[in-house]
Amino acid sequence: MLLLVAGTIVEQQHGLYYAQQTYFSVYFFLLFGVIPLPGTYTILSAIFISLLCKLLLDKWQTSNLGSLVTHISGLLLLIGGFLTAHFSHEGYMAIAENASSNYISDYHDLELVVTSKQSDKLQNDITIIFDNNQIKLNNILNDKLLPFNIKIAHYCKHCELKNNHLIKLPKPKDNEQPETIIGISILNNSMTLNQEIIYLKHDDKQPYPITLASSGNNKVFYVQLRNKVTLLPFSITLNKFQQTLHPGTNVAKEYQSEVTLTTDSNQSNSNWHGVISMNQPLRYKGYTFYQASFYKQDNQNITVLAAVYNVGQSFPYIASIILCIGLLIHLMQKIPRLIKRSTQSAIASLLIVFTTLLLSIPNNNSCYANSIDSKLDYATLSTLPVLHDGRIKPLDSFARIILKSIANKESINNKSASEWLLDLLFNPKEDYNNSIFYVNNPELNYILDIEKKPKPYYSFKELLPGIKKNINLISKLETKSADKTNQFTPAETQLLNLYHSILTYFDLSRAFSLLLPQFDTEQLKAAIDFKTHNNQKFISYYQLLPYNTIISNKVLKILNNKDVSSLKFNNLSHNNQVILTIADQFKNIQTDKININLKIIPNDPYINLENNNWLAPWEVITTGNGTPNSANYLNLLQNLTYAYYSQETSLWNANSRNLNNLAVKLTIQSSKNTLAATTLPCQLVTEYYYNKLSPLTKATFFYILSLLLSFFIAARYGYTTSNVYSKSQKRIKKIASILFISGFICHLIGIIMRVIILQRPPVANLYESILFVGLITALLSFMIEFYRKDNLGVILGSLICTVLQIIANSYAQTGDSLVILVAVLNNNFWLGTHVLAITSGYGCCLILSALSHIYLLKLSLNNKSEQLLKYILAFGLLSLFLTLVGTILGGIWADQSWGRFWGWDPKENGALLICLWLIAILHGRISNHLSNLIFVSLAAITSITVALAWFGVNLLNTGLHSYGFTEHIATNLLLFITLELILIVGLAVICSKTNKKFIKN
Amino acid sequence: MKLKLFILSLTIVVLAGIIYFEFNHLPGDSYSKQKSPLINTKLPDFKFNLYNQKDTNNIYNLKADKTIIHFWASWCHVCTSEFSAIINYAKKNPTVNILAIAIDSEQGPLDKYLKTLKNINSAKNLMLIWDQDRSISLDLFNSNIVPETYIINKNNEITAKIVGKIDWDNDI
Repeated sequence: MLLLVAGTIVEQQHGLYYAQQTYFSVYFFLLFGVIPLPGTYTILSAIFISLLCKLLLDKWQTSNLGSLVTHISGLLLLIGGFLTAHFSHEGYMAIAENASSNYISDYHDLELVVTSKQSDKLQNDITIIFDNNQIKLNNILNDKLLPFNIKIAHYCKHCELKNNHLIKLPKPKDNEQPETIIGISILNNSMTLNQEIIYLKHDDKQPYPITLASSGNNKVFYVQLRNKVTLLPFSITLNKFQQTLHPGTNVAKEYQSEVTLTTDSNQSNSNWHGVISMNQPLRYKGYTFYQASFYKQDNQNITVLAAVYNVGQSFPYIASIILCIGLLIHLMQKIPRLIKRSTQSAIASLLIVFTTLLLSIPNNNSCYANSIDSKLDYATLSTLPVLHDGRIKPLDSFARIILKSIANKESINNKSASEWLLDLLFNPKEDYNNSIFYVNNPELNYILDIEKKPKPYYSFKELLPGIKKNINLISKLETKSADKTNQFTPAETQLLNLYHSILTYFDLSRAFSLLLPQFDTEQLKAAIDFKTHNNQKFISYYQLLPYNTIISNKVLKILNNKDVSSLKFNNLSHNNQVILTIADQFKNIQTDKININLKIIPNDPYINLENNNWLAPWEVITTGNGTPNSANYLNLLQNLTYAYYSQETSLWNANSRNLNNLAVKLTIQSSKNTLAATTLPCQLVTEYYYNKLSPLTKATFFYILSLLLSFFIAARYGYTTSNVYSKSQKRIKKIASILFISGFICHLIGIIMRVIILQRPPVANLYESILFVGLITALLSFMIEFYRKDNLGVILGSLICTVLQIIANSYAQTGDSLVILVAVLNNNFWLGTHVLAITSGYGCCLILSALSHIYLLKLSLNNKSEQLLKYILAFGLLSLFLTLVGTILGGIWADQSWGRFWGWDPKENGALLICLWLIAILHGRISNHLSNLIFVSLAAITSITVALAWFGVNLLNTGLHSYGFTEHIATNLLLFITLELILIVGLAVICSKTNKKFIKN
Repeated sequence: MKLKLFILSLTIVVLAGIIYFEFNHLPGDSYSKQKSPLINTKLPDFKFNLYNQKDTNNIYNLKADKTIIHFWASWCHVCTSEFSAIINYAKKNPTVNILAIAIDSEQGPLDKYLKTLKNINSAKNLMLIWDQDRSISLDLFNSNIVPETYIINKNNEITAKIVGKIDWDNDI
C-alpha cells in the first residue's frame, strides 16, 4: 500500500510510464537507491501464494462458501494479471484516410533496423533488427550477415540535435513521446572507426543510407531508428474518419473510424467492415483496436488506433462475476439479521413528508399564480431552448448563468432571471438604467470613478464612462491574461470580469435590436412609399428590410445632387431630411449584427453549420443562413415584440406558446441529423423546474434543520440507546427524522431531475459525485434509523450530508452546474456502473467511518456498545463489496475504452487503496490480530483514505480520469487529515486509558 | 475433498475455455448504427404570379421531380453573371422547374436587365417572379443575401440550400 502511494506520487513527477517501470512492473526496486524493497510483482506473488494456501488448507464448508468464492476470484484476477503482464503487448497504429497498415508500433520500445536492398536478385534482402535492450550506450552491435559493426556512440532519451551536438530537452509531459536520438558510428571488422558519427532520430521517416566502399561493388545499407514494430497477420484500411463535436464548441463528443479489415492468408482473402468508435473497439484474433486519438496532416485525417494483444482479457470479467457472487453470499451470511420492525410508522412518516413537500411547492409558484392575468406571462418563454456552452438548455438556465456572472445572484429587483433577461432583450433602453452589475471593491470604485453605494449594484449607464476611460488598462490586462502564469490582483481580476460581463450584457441587449420598434411609420409613409398591413406606430429593422434598396437609392439621389450648398442637412427639404435620418438609423442598427451570443434559432438539417451550431437572430439575416424555419421563428419573435410594446396579453401568450412549440419542434429536427442524443422538450421543462424548485438547496436546508434539532436533543436529553423516552422527546425526535427524510427526498428528486436533464449517470464530475455520495449516505443512514429508531441514523446522515452539500456548493459556484462531457467520459454502461458503485462505496465508507467515530466517542465516555460494533463490521463488509466491485467494473471499462484493464493510474490506485485498506482491517479483525479498539480506530481512518482517493488524487493532475482537477484544496485536505488523525488518535488514547480491560478482551 | 477437486477441475476447464475463446474471436460484434439519414423539411406553400402576368399559381401545384428556387436581384453582380448559365441549365433539364425570384424593389432596373437577356423566354420551365414586397424571400425564406438557391424534391421537401454562386453545370 505504501508502494502504491509512493508510486502514485512518483507518477506525478516522472510520468506514468517511468513509475510503472520502476515500481509496479518489477520484482524489486531500491528505495533512495539503497534500501531494496519488494516491488508489486513480488507482493502480488506473495498474495497469490497465500491465497492458494488458504484455499487448499481451509475447510470447505457451506458456512464459509462466500469467502471461499471471493478468494477464488481474487486468485483468478491475479492469474489474469500475470498472463497480461507477461504475454500481452500494446502499441498504436496510425492510418491516414484511404490508407492501410499491417503493423503496430510500440509506445516506448525502440529498435534499430538495418536493411540492404540488393541490386541483383540472386541474393535476398537483408533486414536485421536490434531491439530495445541492445540499444545502450557504448554497446557494439554485430550480426553475421552484416559486414560491419555498429557502435552506439551517443544515446539520449529526450534531446534535440543542434550543430551535431545533443542538447537535453526538458522532461517530456505525460502523453508526449520522448525525442530519442542516438549517434552511431560504423566500425569495420578490425574495430577501427572509419566514418563519422551518424545521428538517428526515432521519428525520422526516411532511413539513413550507409555506403560501404570496401568490398569492390558499392553496397548500400539503410539504418533507421523506429518504434518497435509488430507485424499483424492482417491489415486494416481506414475508409472514413468522423469527428462529432458538442454543438457550438470545440469539445469532442465522438470520434469514429470506419475501417475494413483484410486477412491475407494463402487460402482465402476476406474482408470485414467495421466501425471503431469511442468505447467500441474492434476485436480480432486476440488483438483489440481502440479509437485513441487523431491528428491532421497535409489536410488528411489520420486516426490513431491503440492496439492491444491481451491474453488474459476475460479473466477480470469472470473474476468480477465470481467476486460479486462470493461477496453477496458472504454478506448474506455474515451481516447480522437486523431487527424487523413494523413498517407502519415508516409509512406514516413518509406520508407526512410528502404533504410537507407538497405544501412547499405552491410557495414557489405563488408569485406566478396571481400575475398571469394582469401581466405578460414569461413562464412559457422560460423553457425556450437556447444553445449555450455546448448544451441545449432552457432560457431560464441561460438567464440564471448570465445574471449570476453579472449580479452575483440569480434574481434581481424582484425579478426572476428569465424575467430580467426577457425584459433586457425586448426593452434594453430601460434596463440600461437598472442597477444590476455587482461591484464591491473600493479600489475598483476608484478606478471606474463611481461612488460607493450602500448596495453595491450599478447600472450599465453608470459603469460605461469608467470602462471607456480605462479601456487601455483593460486591453493590457486582456493580453496579459492570455498567458496563464501571470498573477492578477483581486481588483484587476474583478475589472476584467466586469468588462467581460459588460460585453456579454451589451451583446444580449442588442440581440433582438432588429425586431425592436425604431422607425416611425408615419414618417416612412411620407418619405418612401411604405405600405403596412397593421396599424403599428413604429416598425422594426426587420420589417423595414424590404425597403432597403429603395432607401439607399433615394439617398444616392439626394447625394448626387450637384448643387453643393443644398447638401447641408438644414438646407434639405423635410422629406429628404427624414430619408437621410432613416438611412442613418438603418445603418446604425446594422452594426448590431456582431451581437450573436444568444444562439436561439435551431439550425436546419440541410444547412451545414460548423459544429452543428445554432443561430442568433442577427446571424439569420446577415449570414445567408436563413431558412423557412428561421423565417417562422423570426416572425413569431416579431409578433412577440409587438405584443410586448402594446402590452397585449393574449397576443403575447399565444405567440409565446407558438414560439415555444416551434422551437421544440426545430430542436428535435435539428438534432436528428447528428449522432448526438436528442434534447427532448421534457428535458427542458425538467430543467426549468429544477432551476425553479432548486431541490438540492432545499435538501441542504432540511439537513441542516434536522442536524440542529438532533444536536438539540442530544444536548437537552443526552444521548442514549435505550428506547425509553418521554412523549415530548419522542415528538422532537420524530420531527428531526421527518426533516431528515424530507431532505433525503428533495435530494433524490434533485438527482433524478439531473439524470433526466443530462441523460447520463449523475456522477460525471466531482460536484456530481459529491451529491451522489451524499445521497447514498442519506439512504444508508435512513436504513440505520429505520432499524434502530434511536436517532443515530438521523444524526449521522444529516451531519455527513450537510458537510457534503456545503463542499458541493463550493464546487458549484462557477456558472452552470450541468455541464457537457469530453468524449471518453460520455455515456457508457461500464462507466456508469463503475462510478456508481465506487461512489456508493465512498458513501458507505463515510458511514463506516462516522459510526466508528461515534463508537470511539461513546467508549471514551465509558459507554461501550456491542451493537454498534456489529454495524461497523457490517458496513465495513458492505463498503468493501461496493468499492471492490466498483474498482473491477472500472477495470472492465478501462479495458473497453483504452484497452487495458489496469494502468496504475492515480485514480485507480486511489480506489485500490481503499479496497486494500478495508481488506487489511477486515482481515486483521477476523484473524484476531487487531483488537476491537484498534480495528475501530482504523475503520475511522477510512475517511482519510476516502478523502485521499476522492480529492487527493485530483491534486496530482495526472492520469486519464480527466474529471475534477481542482486547485486550492490541498490545504483543506491536509487540514482535514491532520484534524482527523489527531481526533482519532486522541480518542483511541482516551479509550485505552479509561477502558484498559476492554482491550485485553 | 471431492468437492475441492471438482471445483479445481471446473476452474481449469473454464480457464481453458476462456483462453480458447480469446484466440478465436471474429469481428462483427463491433458494428455500430450507421448515421441516420438526413431529415428533410417541408417547403412552405406559397402563391406567386409570373413576372408581368396576373394569374396566380401555387408552388405545390407545380409538380416536378425537382424544383429549384433561386433568389437573385438585378443589382447583384454575382447573380447577373450566372444568369445565362441558369437559362442554359433550364434548357438542358426540361423536367426541372426553376423559380428565379428577383428581390428587386424597383421595376425599372429589373426591366432594363431582363431586356438584355434575349433567350429568357426560350425555356418554359424557367419561371421569372418578382418578389417586390419580399413576402416570399424574406418573410418565408429569410433570404436577405442573394444569390441563394434551394433545391426541392418531388415531395416538396428541401434537400439543400446553397448560398453564393453555383457552377450550374456540375454542382446541381
